[in-house]
Amino acid sequence: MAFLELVDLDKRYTQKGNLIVKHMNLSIHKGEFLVFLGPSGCGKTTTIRMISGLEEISGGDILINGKSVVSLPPKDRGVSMIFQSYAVWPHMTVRENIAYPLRLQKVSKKDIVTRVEKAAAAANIMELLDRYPTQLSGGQRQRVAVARAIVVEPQIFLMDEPLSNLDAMLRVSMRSELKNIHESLGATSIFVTHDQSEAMSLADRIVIMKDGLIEQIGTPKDVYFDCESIFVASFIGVPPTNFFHVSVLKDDAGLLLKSQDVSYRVDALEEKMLSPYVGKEVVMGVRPENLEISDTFDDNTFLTTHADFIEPQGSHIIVISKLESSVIKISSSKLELQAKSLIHVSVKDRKAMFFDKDTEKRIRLQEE
Amino acid sequence: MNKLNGIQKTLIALVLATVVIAVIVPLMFFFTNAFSNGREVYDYPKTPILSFTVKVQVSYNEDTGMYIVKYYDRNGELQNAVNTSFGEILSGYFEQYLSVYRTPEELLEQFEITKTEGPQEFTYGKNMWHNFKTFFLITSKAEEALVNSIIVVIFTIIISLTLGSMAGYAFARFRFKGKDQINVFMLIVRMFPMVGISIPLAVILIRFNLFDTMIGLAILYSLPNIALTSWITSSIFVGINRELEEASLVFGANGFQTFIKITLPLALPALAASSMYAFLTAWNDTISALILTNDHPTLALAVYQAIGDNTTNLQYAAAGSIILIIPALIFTFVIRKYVNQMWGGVSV
Ligand SMILES: Nc1ncnc2c1ncn2[C@@H]1O[C@H](COP(=O)(O)OP(=O)(O)OP(=O)(O)O)[C@@H](O)[C@H]1O
Ligand SMILES: [Mg+2]
Repeated sequence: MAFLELVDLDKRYTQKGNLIVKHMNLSIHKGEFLVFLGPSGCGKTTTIRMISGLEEISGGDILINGKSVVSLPPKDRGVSMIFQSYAVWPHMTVRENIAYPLRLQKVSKKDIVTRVEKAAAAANIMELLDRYPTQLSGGQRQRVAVARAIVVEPQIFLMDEPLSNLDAMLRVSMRSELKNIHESLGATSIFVTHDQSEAMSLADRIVIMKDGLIEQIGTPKDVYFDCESIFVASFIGVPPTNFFHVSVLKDDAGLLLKSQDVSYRVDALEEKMLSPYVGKEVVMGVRPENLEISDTFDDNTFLTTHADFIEPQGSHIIVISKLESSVIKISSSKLELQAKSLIHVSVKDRKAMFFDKDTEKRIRLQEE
Repeated sequence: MNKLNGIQKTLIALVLATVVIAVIVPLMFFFTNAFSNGREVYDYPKTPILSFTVKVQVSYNEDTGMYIVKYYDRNGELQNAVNTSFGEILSGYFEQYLSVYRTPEELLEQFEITKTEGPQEFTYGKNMWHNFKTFFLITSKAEEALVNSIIVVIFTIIISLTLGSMAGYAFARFRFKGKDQINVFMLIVRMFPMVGISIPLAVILIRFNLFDTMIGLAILYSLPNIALTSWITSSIFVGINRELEEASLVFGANGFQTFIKITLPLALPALAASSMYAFLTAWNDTISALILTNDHPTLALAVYQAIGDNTTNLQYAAAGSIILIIPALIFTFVIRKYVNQMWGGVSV
């Protein structure tokens, strides 16, 4: 059963304003680590704040453990939060910061001491307990925020870009620590970020949002290889997916996808999928690592072009090539490839995704 | 570069000169007056240096049988002081005009020698606290006035800080219609001279039986300070990161607890600064206190009345003023620590 459920959740900030979050539906299981990923302004913070109770909702419902919590104040929802600015109180020592939630719960003095020390140990700040936050580095303040969030033993852990103020090294080490803490507590976590590598490495499932709508919910693998929309395919992955606007043509041998630059012979499975689009245009998306470079032209050749630039990445290279209507990027392991040389490119194992040009949604096989 | 230095030097010299002329010299005169005896106070020209001793010349007139006491002023010139043969009169004069405490017997015994040896000079140590003692003696209700002042100050700070900081919080955190107008309007209250408000307020206070009470007076002093406090604190509240309050809400506090435990402590510098203004308004005011009280003066009023009644004895009024200043100084120094936090101690 879903532990946290968002049902048709709406949010508008002003009476007549636009919907910032539009009819959001989401079920989160107990113990799951969910990541909200999306471009700036898509409503990630707004959603998480509605769950915490800091922001009122404009419609729909939020259920925790099957009970609606929308009428409860933040303190009664059993959530704890790590804020982007850490929100560590500057007028209290680290110890007082961590003890604050327990004091309010009227936990006994003795229990406060043991629980604070346990949380501090988990966040690795035992030796900082008697300092004031102004005497700490950004990373240390972050740990204080973590200790404070775990000391209350929350049902739900909300984290709004908790790592965005840290330097790259610290970010990577902190994120594995957060994941460890999540696993050892067995809490249910929602983590907001717009860093996709963070999302990929942390999430059980990723929720990709755009303009207040959920574009796709899925495991990191799903959202990478099995994108639901053009947006997801272009948003996820560095370098991003290559897109080709192709016409679906029918000839004696079956279906052929063709544009100025490319030509792609459709197999039986794909034909079933694309048959409603004969005579129309579709958008074909191929990940850079699913394009293969060969020296010779053959039946499978998708396009032929010149390798205009080559960016060595160590273990592999990124080949950048200008076509008539677009620029493509290919990830290849042919380290010896020379710039300007002629290349024949094919699609690996038919790993291409097709999208409806109007709805921008993925074209899937219709179940009969 | 050199030119700039020249300008800077001139500026610094000007600032120093201003400080000396406007602050140090008046303070020194004020201070020496408070510790002067009844004769020194009228010395001319005045030296802004404290004296601790008094020098007199005593001679004996055989015809009248009186001692002729003359007093050396600060320029070393002899001035007539008192002629008498009575020890009580001598002792009284010494105490009242010279701040020298000696029994009649003691003086007569010392002066005895002038009968045989001719005029003699004597040097006595001044009792430095004479003016202060006398101030409390001649100012009826001085002790009560001190207590009153403390009470009225406490009430003023409580009223103006409570209402002012709540208003300041509202201005900082909520958007509502006419906010700017109300803000300006509240500052207009501060532009009115307090006397102007005290007269209509007196009528209201009489109706509510608060006339001649410290709470009534505190209400008047709070009026301008509520606006000022709201103004000072709202600028601090605006600067407090909302997430600090939201964290408190998430971690188990209700709105009121959050305000008390998180917001107020973070705004402490602003509250300290505001309380200083409230303190000074209530502590230093005389005119409104004159209008709004009858039998229960504040200390400032008592000092004011002491000056009024004793124009010939300026030194007592000066001593009273020092008594008035000291608590204000102590308060300012204590509170200074918190006000300074505003400029960097705690970043909010
Ligand atoms: N208090 C507010 N009043 C009005 N509009 C707001 C308010 N807070 C956010 N918005 C609007 O709601 C939209 C979503 O904001 P939100 O902060 O949820 O985005 P986000 O996904 O967290 O972005 P980011 O990645 O930049 O943090 C934005 O267009 C923003 O302008
Ligand atoms: Mg955000």
